[in-house]
Amino acid sequence: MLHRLLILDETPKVEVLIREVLEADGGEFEVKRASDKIDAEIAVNEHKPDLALVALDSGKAISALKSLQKKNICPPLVFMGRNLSVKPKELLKVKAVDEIELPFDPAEFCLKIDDDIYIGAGRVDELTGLFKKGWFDYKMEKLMKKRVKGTLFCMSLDAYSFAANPPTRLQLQMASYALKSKFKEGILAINGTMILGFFPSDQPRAENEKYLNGLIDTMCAAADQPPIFICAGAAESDMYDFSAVDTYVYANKAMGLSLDAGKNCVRYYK
Amino acid sequence: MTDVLLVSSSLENINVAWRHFCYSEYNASATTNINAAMENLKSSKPARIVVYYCGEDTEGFYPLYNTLRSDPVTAEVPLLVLADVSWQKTLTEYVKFYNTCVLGITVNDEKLKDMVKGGARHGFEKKSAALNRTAPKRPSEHPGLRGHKGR
Repeated sequence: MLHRLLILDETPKVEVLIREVLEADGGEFEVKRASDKIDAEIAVNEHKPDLALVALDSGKAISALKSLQKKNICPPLVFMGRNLSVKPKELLKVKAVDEIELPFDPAEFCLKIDDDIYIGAGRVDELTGLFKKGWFDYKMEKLMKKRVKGTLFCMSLDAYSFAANPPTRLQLQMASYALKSKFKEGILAINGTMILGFFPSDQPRAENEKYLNGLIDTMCAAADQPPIFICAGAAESDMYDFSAVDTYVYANKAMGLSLDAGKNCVRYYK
Repeated sequence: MTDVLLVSSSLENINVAWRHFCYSEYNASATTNINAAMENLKSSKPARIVVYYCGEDTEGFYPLYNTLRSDPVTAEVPLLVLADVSWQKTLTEYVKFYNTCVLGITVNDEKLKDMVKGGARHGFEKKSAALNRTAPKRPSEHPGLRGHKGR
């Protein structure tokens, strides 16, 4: 999936560096830079960017942004700068999808841009704040290209337990656990039905989470490679554009991805 | 004598940068190929420091950096970048590079020798920072998702 970025900035070569950083992470990006109003308008009309990254310390870039807003052709915005707490006053009321502090950590930057593109395009469920299917497909595609070394675990909860346990928080907890534990990649997505485990819905939430964390600990201890979690949280089948078939397709892909396929993999069952 | 591996995207760039390394203090080799660079660094007598020359028309610095840092054997190799004016600002202000030092191409040979020697011996990363290096963290709450509550 090709994504298009526009960088409003005066600094030369920044578009080359950012494209190289994003491509090294497995994404396909077309990156243009515009440093004034005319270039910015041409770039938006011809290039149709998914996101615009705006350098907060560039006066010309801010003028270009104002011009795009005036003509109502402004793409979703991400601010970037060395000191994000001090914004130019003309930007105080401008709403951005995200902010990126410079200098950025490349891996964190790539995660943010991926998310921002989907938030900017409105592909996030408004009720739950969860990403819809397209994002998960995209992330899976990127992982498949990388052939990362590690052990993959697929896990999911059934619909009832999610009704009792707010999905966003629980999924975030699982993904952040994966990241904090220095796993190479944590993926957050929504999915239907069960891949691993069935967590009873009548248990109090705290106990459910305790059980889940214990399960993660056990799996981590069993793995001899850094595990990669594909946290497939559940909603009812066929919600959010997912079907039960998707679940099996993803689980199969995930298992195939592991270079240690078959070893330390948690089996899923129908 | 310091073992140096000079890398750039083209032979022209290598020729331009070579003048800095034709002194007896260096035992330098050069390549334009990332795989060849990795072979050198994994050989029995690897270079102690990699110097990347970033001329005005150079692309491909980040793929080299990423390849270097992704391999456990070469992840800690110090990297010195000689960057032309158009690259210097971008490389120093936009991305956090690990164990990497960026210098302008107009740097004088004496200073360069000091930096190469120091980098090859001790690296460019402060010890405490190196110890604290962790995997990337996802922000705990994405600004775009603020206000969204679970069911």
